[in-house]
Amino acid sequence: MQIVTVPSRLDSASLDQLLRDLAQFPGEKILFDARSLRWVDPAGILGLLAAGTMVRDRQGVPPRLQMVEGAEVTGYLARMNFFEAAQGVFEMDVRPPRRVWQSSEVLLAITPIHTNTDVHGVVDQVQEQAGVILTRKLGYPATAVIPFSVVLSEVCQNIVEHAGAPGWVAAQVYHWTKRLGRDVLVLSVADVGQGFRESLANTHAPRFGARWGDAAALEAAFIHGLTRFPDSGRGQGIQQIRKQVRKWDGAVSIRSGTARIADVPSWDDTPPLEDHLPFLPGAQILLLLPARVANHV
Amino acid sequence: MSEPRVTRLSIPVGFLVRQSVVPSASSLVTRPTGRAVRREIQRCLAQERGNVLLLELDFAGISVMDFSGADEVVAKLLLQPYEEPVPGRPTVLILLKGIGDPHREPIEAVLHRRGLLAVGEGEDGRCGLLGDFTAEEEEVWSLLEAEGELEASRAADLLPGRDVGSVLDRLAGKGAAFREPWSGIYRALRTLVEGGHPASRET
Repeated sequence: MQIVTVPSRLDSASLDQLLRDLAQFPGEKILFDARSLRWVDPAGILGLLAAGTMVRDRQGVPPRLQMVEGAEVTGYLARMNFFEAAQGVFEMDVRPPRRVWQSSEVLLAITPIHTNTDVHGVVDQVQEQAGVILTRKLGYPATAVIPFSVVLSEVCQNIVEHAGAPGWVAAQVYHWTKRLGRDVLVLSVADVGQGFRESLANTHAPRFGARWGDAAALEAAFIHGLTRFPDSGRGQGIQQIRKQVRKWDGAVSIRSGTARIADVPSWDDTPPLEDHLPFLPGAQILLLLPARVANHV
Repeated sequence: MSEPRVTRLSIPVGFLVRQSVVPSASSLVTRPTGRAVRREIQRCLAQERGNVLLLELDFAGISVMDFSGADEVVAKLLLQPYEEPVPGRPTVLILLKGIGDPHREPIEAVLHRRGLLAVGEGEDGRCGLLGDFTAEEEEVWSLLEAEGELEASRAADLLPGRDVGSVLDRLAGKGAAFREPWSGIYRALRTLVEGGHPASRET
């Protein structure tokens, strides 16, 4: 059995390190050592679930996940419904805390997305809390709840329409003291399905020839709005998400397979396209919506 | 030519959403939901008879509409009102009602993308064009909307120097106006709703 250490701070960036470590042991049993985990955001949590699912499917049984019982992060993970979502994905010794305080920072605890009814549930569920967070924390106008709900619906639908496998969504507000000096809503959606490359391969790979790969597939969907469907009305979801997130001066990125593509606002330094990253099954969409500053939005 | 019978069918879209998803649902989101709603509307349309049918899609009570829902219900019904084209069925004109903030942007986006236009009635009861149209089309449509009905010659007098007849034909071809085949008069869709058309009836 190989031990893979979960980074102490797990977010979309450090997830790549975890995946890189996992890639070293493709055929072996894995133990995820999360005893040093101190902080995790929605992208990190969902990435951990995706990585665990990938290993489980590969080795035929859920991999072990070690955590420290009673740690602050364990309480946070319980608040985010991690232990429910991780059932069947990980084998865990740690018992989740019995009493969990709710947090006004959590917009959406980890919610499984299997069908369109789940998407309806998420959209209806977040209305009230989204209103509070968007207006009070981010300083958006009250009317922002509607476009936010539309964005949420479209990102979740990506799972139902394209993944061919279940996924999860989660969202929380953080105060990014160093990076931005503002509150930021972090919304992540992940699935463990076929990914963009596989989804688009039959209809678009021949046109790209030798250039076809995860990065080319993400460019096709993200930049050009291509989908596997011949219907000209398809492919609007991602384009409209990008448009709306730009209005809020936010960032949107998609990680699938070995690539990541992003719309990068001026306050962020993420590369717009990265390739040859460690493999991530399915797709992960990450939205960062920063608090409004004066004379903007 | 005999006067065609203009029938009217009003469909509360919110009711169909609740029927398709769960009784508490108030959002027209996701393609499967939009598809289910559209097919139910098409099932209703298939039972209609007559020459011309004014289909009123009422979006009042829909709290969130995403682009997928708008595309499946609005754009696809404008493109193909019937699931299977069968000769002899009424020509369908569509009026979007109860259009508010949650609906306008997704409807505009999907109509633009497909090069379509539609007439939408806001919550204040005023109608406007939505989607893909030219400034000339909007001007002529606004005139028709203000007048209620127009003959091409009178429209040309009101907007001299323009080929108003062609624009009116184009608007009628796109379903944003109704041209009476027996008289050649163009009518705003709202006049059909208000019972302004002598042969209209509600179903």
